[in-house]
Amino acid sequence: MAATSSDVQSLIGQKYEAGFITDIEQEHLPPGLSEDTVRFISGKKGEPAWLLEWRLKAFRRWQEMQEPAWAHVDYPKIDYQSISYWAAPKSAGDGPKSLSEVDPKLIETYNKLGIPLEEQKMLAGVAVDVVFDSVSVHTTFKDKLAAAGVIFCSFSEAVREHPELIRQYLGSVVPQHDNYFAALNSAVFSDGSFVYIPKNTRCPMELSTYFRMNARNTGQFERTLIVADAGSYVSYLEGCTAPQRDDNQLHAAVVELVVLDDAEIKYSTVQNWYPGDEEGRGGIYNFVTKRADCRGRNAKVSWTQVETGSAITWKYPSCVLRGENSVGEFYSVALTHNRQQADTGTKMIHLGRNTRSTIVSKGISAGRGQNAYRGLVRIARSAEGARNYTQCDSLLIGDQCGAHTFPYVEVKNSSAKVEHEASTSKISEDQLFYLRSRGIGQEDAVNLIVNGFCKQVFKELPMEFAVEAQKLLSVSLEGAVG
Amino acid sequence: MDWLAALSREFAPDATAPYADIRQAALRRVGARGLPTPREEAWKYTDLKPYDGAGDAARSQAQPSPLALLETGGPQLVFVDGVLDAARSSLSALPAGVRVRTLSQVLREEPDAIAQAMARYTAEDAQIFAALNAACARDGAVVELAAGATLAQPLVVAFLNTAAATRLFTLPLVVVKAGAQSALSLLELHYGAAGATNHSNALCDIEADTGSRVEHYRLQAEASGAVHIGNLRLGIGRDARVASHSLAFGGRLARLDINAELTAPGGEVVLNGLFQAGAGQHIDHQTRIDHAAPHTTSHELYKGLAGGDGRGVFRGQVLVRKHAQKIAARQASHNLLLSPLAEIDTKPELEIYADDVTCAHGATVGQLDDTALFYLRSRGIAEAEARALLVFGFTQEVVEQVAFEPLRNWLAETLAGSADVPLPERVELAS
Amino acid sequence: MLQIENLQVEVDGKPILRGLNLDVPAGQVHAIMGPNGSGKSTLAHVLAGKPGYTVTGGSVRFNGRDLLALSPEERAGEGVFLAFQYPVEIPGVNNVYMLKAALNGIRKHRGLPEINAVEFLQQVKAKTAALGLKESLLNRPVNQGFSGGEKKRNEIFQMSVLEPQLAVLDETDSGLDIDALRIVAEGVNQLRDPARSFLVVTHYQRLLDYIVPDVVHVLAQGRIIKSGPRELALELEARGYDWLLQAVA
Repeated sequence: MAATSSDVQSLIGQKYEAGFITDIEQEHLPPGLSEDTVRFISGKKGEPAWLLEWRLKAFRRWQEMQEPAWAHVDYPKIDYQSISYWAAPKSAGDGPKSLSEVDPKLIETYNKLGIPLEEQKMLAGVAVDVVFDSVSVHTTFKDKLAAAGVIFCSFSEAVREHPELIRQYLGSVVPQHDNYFAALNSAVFSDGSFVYIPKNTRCPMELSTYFRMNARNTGQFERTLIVADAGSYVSYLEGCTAPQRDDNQLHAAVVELVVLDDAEIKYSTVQNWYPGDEEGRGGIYNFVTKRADCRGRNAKVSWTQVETGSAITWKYPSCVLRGENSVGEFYSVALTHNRQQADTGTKMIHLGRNTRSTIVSKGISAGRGQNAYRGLVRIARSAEGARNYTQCDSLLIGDQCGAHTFPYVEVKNSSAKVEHEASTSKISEDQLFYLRSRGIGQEDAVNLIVNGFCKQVFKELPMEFAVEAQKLLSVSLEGAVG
Repeated sequence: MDWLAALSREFAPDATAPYADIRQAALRRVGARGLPTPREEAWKYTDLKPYDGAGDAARSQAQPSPLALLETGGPQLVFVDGVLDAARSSLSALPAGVRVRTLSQVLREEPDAIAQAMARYTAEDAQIFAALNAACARDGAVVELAAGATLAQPLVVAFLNTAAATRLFTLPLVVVKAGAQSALSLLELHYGAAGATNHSNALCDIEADTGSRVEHYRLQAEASGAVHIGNLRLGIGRDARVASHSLAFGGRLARLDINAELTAPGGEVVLNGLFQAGAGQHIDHQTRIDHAAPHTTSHELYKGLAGGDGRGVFRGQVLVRKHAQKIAARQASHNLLLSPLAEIDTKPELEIYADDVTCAHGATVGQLDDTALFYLRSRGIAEAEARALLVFGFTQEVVEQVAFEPLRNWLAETLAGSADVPLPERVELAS
Repeated sequence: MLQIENLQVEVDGKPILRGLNLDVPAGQVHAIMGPNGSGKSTLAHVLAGKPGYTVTGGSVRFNGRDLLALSPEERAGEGVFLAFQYPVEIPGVNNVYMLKAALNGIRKHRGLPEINAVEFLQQVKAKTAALGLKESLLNRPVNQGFSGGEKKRNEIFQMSVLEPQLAVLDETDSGLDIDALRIVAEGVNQLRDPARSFLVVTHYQRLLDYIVPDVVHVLAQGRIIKSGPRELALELEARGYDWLLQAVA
C-alpha cells in the first residue's frame, strides 16, 4: 500500500519525495543563485556526487555566458538573483480550497474547453480528494508499462533507480553549455521525466501528461530525457490544453531525445501556459531547449507542437540526423494574441547519408502579437543525398500584429536538395464573405479558416489532442476579429 | 596588414576639400568600429579576416572580358585603376536634360550636388564599407536627369583594374539622381584584368523621383584574385520603378549589399541577381527591401551557381512597416551546387508589421535535374553540353530580363563558356 | 418575395447602381442582362451583403424584411444564396465540413436543431450524384484544385443542399463549356419551385436557353432600362445593347 500512496501523492502534485518530509521546515529557498544554491538543490534530492559535480560544472559555464539577444522578442532584463530556485512541491494548504476561490475567467475557459470538473480542480491547483478517479488507472498503467519493460518515472527516481542510464545519456544531446538557458537548467533543474523504451519494444500506450502528474509542479527547470533503444517506438504527449495556474515567470526546460537504430519517437506538445493579460502583464517566459539525436540508422523523430500560451516563447525543437536514412519532422502551430511574442522554429542538422527532414510551420498573429519563425536547415558535407522540405506560412489577423520569417539554409553537399517556401497573408475578406454568405457566423468563419490553415499540423497530433487543440485555438483567438 | 589603417593612410580625406570634416569624422568612426566579424548577423557567412591583405596575384585570372561593352558607341565614363581614362570616355551624345560629370569635377564645381549622398553615408549608422567609400572616394560618376529627360541608350560607367595598378584600393562612387518622370538605363561595370589584385570598395546611390524609370545593371567581373565589396542603395519615390540586376562573376571575395527603400505609394522595385562562384570564390549578396509606404511592390529573383570549392551566400530581407498596407512582395532564391565541394547559404527573410499584404518567398538549393540531363543525353547531347544547357536554362529567367542586348549576349557567352563547352547558336529551353 | 426600390450603390465614392427597381415574386426566374460594367455583379454582391459597397439610397426588402440591415450570414439564414462568379478557394477546409457548418448555421438562424450527421451525408451523396460531381471532391478543400467547371457545379451543389428561397446566380455560365452548362442548368431547373425564386445574372443569352426565365431585365448605367418576356433576350442577342441605350438616351 505504501507504493500506491506515494503514487497518489505524486499524482496530485503533493509532497512526494520521501526526502522532503525530513526537512519540512525549509521548503523554500530564498531568492538567489550561487554554487551553494546548486549544492542545496542536489543535497535536497539526495543526488550522487557525480551529478552534483555535473551541475556545478554547468553552473560555472553559465556564469561565463551571455543571455542571448538575437531572438525577435522583447522583454525586461531578467534578474536571476531574484528568483527562488527551490520550492518543494506545494502542499495542500497553499492552493485554493475550492473552485470558488479560483479566478472565474480561468473556470470560464475550462468550461469552453469542455474540461471535466475534477480535472479543472487539478489544473487550477485545488487540493484534490485522494480518491481521484485516475488512481487506479495510474496503477494499471504502471503495471502495463513495467510488463513491457518500459521505464517511465520522475527524473529523481531515475537517478536513484537507473543511474547508469542517466549517466550515459544526460547531457549527451544538449550539452551543459549548449546555450544560456540550457546551462541554467543543467545547474538547477528540479525534476522532470525519464523514459526508456527497450529494444524492439513498441510502447503499449501513448505516454501522456495525464498520467504524468508526478512531474507536475516540479516547475520552472524541468528536465526530460527519453531514450528509444534499437527498434523501439514511443509516442509521448506533453502539456495540457488548459491554461495552468503557475506562479513561476521563467520556465527554462530541457528535453533530450536519443533515438537508436530503427527506433522512432513521436513527441507532441500542446503548450498553453499563462499568456499574460490583454495588456501584456504577467505571463510565462517559456525558454526551452528541445533536441533529438537520431544516432542510429533509420531513426525517426517527429516533433509536433501547438503553442498558444506563454507571454514569450523561445523554442526550437531540433533534430540531429546522424544515422544513415534517419528522418526528422517538425510540425508547428504557433499563435500569438494580445501582447504575446513567439520566436520559434526548428533546426535540422543533416550529418548522415540519405537523411530527410520536413518542416511545416504555421504562425498566426493577432492583436498585438509578434510571431517569428526561425529555422535552420544545415546539410553537412557528409550528408550525401540529404533532403529537406520546408513550408512556412503566416496568417495575420488585425493590423497591429507582426509575422516574421527567418530561415537559414546552409548546404555543403552537392547531392542534397533543399526547398523552402513561405507565405504571409491576412485572413482574406473574400474567404470570410464567402463563408458568411453561406450562413456561417463571423467567429465561426474565422475559426474555420484558421483551422484549415493549421490542418497539416493538426493531422499529426493524436486524435483527442487534435480536437482539443482546435478548441484551444478558437478560445485563444476570441475577440481577435472585431 | 591592417586593411582599414592602410586605406586611411592612402586615402586620407584632403583637409581643404569639400566635406572634409564629415569625411574625416566618418573615417574615424570606421576605424574605431573595426572590420565586421561573423558574429554580426549580416556577416554570418562572410569572414573578412582571410582577405585582410593584398590580393592573390597567383590565382588572379581574368573573367571573360566584358570590354566589348565599351564599344557600343553609347555614352560612357571609364576609370582605369581609379583614374579617369579620358580617351575611352565619351559623353558627347547625351540628350538634353541629362548631365554626367565625374565626381572630382563635381567636388570642384558644385559640391552641393552630392550633399544628400554625403550626408547619408557619413551618418553614424551608415554601413561600414559605404561609409569608408564616402569618406575616401576620389573619383566616380555623378549622373543627373532633369524632370522628363530620357536616356534610352545605356550609360556605361566602367571601373577597370589592371595588374599594373600602383594602389591596392579603389573606391568607385556613383551618384544618380533621376528627376520626376525621367528614364535612365545605366550599366555599372567593374572589371579586373588577369593579375589584378585590387581591393575595390564601390558605392552606388540611385534616387528615383516621382514616376521615373531606372534600369540599373551591375556587372561585377573582377579578376579572381581581387576583393570586391559593394554597396547599392535605391531610393524609390512615388510611382517610380527601379529595376536593378546584379550579375556577379569575379573576385575571390565579392560582397554586395543592396538597400531598396520604397518611400512613397506606387513605387515598385525589381531586384534580379545572378552569381557564379567558382573555385576559390566567395560571393555574398545581402539585399534589403524596405516597404516603408503603402501600395508598394517588390519582386526579387536571385539565381546562384556554385562550382569548384566556391561558396555563394544570399540573404534577402523584406521589411513591411507598420501601416504600409496593400503590399505585394515576392522573393525567390534558387541555387545550384555544381560540384561536391561547393556551398550555398541562403536566408530569405520576411519581417511584416502590416496585415493587408501578400508576401511570399521561396528558396531552393539543389543540383541539375537528373531526368532532364538524361532526356538531353538520350537525344544525343554529350553530358558536358547537356549540363551547360541546363545551367543556361536555369539562369534564363534572370538573363532574359536584361534588356541591354550587348550585355545579354555577353551573359549568354559567359554562362556557356563557364561549362567549357560551346553554346549552340540558338537555345530554346522551356523553363 | 424580393422588392428593390430605387437602389443606389457606390464603390469607392463612384456610383454604380443609380436608382434600380426590381420586383421578383415567389416562384419566378428573372434574368438580368446588360453590357460589361453595367452593375450586374454589384447588384448580386449587394444582395448577398459583400463588404465594400456603400448603399447611398433606396431599399431592398426580402419577404418584407429589410435585407440591407442584415449580415451576410443572416441573409443566408433568411434564405438568400449567391452562386459566385469566382468561387473562392479555402485551403484546408473540407467542402462537406463547410457545408454542414453552413447548413447548421442556417438551421440555427431558423430555430431548428442541428441536422443529424447520417441524414446529412445521405442528402449530400444523393445531390452530388444528381449534379455529376465526383464524390472525391466532397472531401477536398473548398474549391481548391477544382477545375473551372467543377467550381461552378460545386456552387450549384451547395445551393441544392442549402435550399435557399432566393438564389442569385452571378455569371454562373461564364467559362463553362456546353456540357457543363447543361449540367448546371439542369441542377437549377430541378430546384425550381413555386416557393423559390431565381435571379440569373448573365452576359449571354445562351444560358437562358436552358434556364428559361419568366422575365428578362436589361441593366445599364446602374438602372433597369427595359424589362420584357423571354424573347427580349433573343432580341438582345441579335441586336446588341446599343439600340436600347440610344432609346433611353
